[in-house]
This record gives sequence, C-alpha cells and structure tokens, in this order.
Amino acid sequence: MSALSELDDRGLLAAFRIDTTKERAFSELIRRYQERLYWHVRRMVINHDDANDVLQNVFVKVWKNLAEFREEANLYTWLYRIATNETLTWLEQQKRRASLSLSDEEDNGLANKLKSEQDYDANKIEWKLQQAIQSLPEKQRIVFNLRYYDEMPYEKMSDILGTSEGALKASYHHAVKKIESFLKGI
Amino acid sequence: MKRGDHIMEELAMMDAPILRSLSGHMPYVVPAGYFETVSHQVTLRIMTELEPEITASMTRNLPYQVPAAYFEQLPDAIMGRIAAEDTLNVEMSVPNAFTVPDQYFEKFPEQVIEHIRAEELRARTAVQRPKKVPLFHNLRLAASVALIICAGFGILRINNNMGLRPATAKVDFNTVPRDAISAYVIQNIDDFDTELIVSSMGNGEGILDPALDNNASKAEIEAYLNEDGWN
Repeated sequence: MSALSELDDRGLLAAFRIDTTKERAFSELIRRYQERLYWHVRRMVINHDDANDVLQNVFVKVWKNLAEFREEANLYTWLYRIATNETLTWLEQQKRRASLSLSDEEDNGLANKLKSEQDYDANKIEWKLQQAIQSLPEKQRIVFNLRYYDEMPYEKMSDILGTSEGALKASYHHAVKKIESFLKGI
Repeated sequence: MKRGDHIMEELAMMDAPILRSLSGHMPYVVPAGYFETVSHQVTLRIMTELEPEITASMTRNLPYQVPAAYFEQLPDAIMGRIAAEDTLNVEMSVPNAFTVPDQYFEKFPEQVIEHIRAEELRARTAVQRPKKVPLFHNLRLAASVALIICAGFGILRINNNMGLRPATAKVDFNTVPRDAISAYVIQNIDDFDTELIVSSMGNGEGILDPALDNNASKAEIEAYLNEDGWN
C-alpha cells in the first residue's frame, strides 16, 4: 500500500496539486471512493455497464474540477453531488432517447432492465424491494437510497441534494410508506 | 449487513416492519475484479479526451513511434477484442464430439497410481544387469590377485626352507618319548594288533625299544609283548 493511502482527504488534495504526485493521488482518490459512488449510481441505473459509464463520467469530471475544489466543503459530499448530478443527467438522456425512439417502453425501461439482471428472481424479497424502489420518482428514489442503504445523515444529504433537511425527511417518510405498501401488496 | 440503530429506530417509528426486517443487501452482481480496473479506465479516458496535448508531447519526447489516432481508437479496439474473446469462449464452450467413458475422470487418478506401483515393483524385481566395469579396474583386480598368490607361494617356500614340514608318522615316532608311546599302546592296542606291530617292527618302522635286539625273531617279539602285560 502506498504512502498516499495513509493520507486523509486534505492530504490527498494537496498531493493532487503537485505535478509529480497528481496522477497517483487521483488513482488513490478513485480507489477510496469508487465502491460507494458505484453503488450510489447503480441503484439508480440498475445495469452494470450503464453504472460503469456514469461512474467514469463522474471521475472524469472530478479530474477536471478537483484543482478548483474548495476545501471548506467536504470532499465526500462533493463527490456524491457530482455522482448524483451525473446519474440524473444520464437518466434524463435515457428518457429522451426512449421518447425519440417512439417506443412504448419509456416508463418501463428501468423495470425491464431490472428483470434482465443476472440472478433476477421476482419471488425474492430483495428483488421485489428493487422493483418497489424503481417505482418511486427519481429524487425520492435518491433520498430513499441515501438514507436506507448508505445511512447518510439528513444534514449531509441536504448538502448533496441542495434540499432542506425537513423536505428530505418528508420525502424519505413517503418513500418508506409507498415501499411498505408495495411489498405488502405482493 | 448490520444496520445502524438510528435507521432501525426511524423505520420502527414509520411503522415499516418489512423494511426493518431486510438486511440491506443489494442483489445486483458486479463483475469479478471490476473495481481493480476502474482507475485505469478513467485514466485512459482522461488521456484521450481531456489531455491529447499532453499525450502528444509525451509521444514527441519519446523515441518510440505511435500510430496516428492510436489512443482515440484504443477504447474501441479493446472492446472489439473483448467481443472477439467472448465469441471465442462461446465457441470453445460448445461440447465436442468425443465421448468419454463413464466415471473416467473419477477413476483416472487411481489408475495412474496403480500403474506407477506396478512400474516400481517391476523395477525392483528385474535382474540387474552387471555393471560395466572399466578395463583399468579389471587389470587392477587381476594384479592384486596375482600378488596375493605370489605372496602365498613365497610364504610357503620360506616356511619349507625353515624346516617346517608337515609331520609324517615316521618322523613323529622318532621324536615322541618312549613313555608316551607305551602309554598309548597300553590304552589302545589289543591282541589283534600284535601281528601288525611285529610286521612293522620287521620293516624297521614303528617303535624301537632299545632293550630289544634288532635281530629278534617274531616269536621272541610276541613273547615280549605278552609278558609286558599288553592284554
């Protein structure tokens, strides 16, 4: 393990700003956050290849803007914000593509992708939960995922999504109710 | 996956027993080794999309030549290769036309071990061919044997010269004391041997008693023997 892996985020940023250590610092940053960001993206886009594309977009954007990153903000929060925005942008592009293709699958695109996933089993509760989550509006889906899976505090969620904590709590509450009803109904 | 207490309490307050009961495990599959490749993929994209000038300057400074548009085409080339390898794997996964006897692979290790044991046994019981001994070694051996034989003869000659001859009856009798001979005769001789002794005495062999006249007759000798209590 390199010495860079022992640096905290602030040290990593400092190493990124030095030409001789820039690339290694960036590689270390990817290694540190890739899994968390990957799952944040994948829960939204479902398919692995799509998640990979979005994740690469995220880190390319990080590379472009990291030099100007203000250290007052939390790096972790900043990365999540980029990932959320890139994911929503990608989903929007998919919707436009679907509408342009005159297909009837506009609203069923993600549901179909879910069913084509490896080891998909409609009888298993964890797949039913994913179905329930995909039925939520996009932003509510993000709130539910960040709270339920990442166990993120509302304060951090508010920094990422630019929404008040109260609104986020209400959004999460509604999401939980819908999902419980969905799961009870099946 | 253990859930945080604050999350579980919140779900309890929201009356969400099903969500509380779930582990939070994601059912999605991630390709093996994926996370080891992310950094490399991102770096490649950055080099080709964002910093072609840097890439170009790197190639200018190096003595090596890179084909034109190599880096731009690289992602597609890699994907094409992956697709080709996937096709190859599919082709190789097609079952071949050959059949294998039932349980062949299960029995195979045992058969190999038995074969090895049989080979070892054969090797142990085989008559070993005499080893080829070098000529020089044979000569040395012959010379040693000759030397030993000669030494033996030499010792024998030396012994003979010193008068150490094997004993004969004639010589021993002349050196054995009279009393010893008498004792022996008394113990071992009987009437039937009398004639033998007489005939021996006549030849000048055997025991010669100085008391006896060398010209004594046969009858005189018999009488002498009887008187001395030979019986």
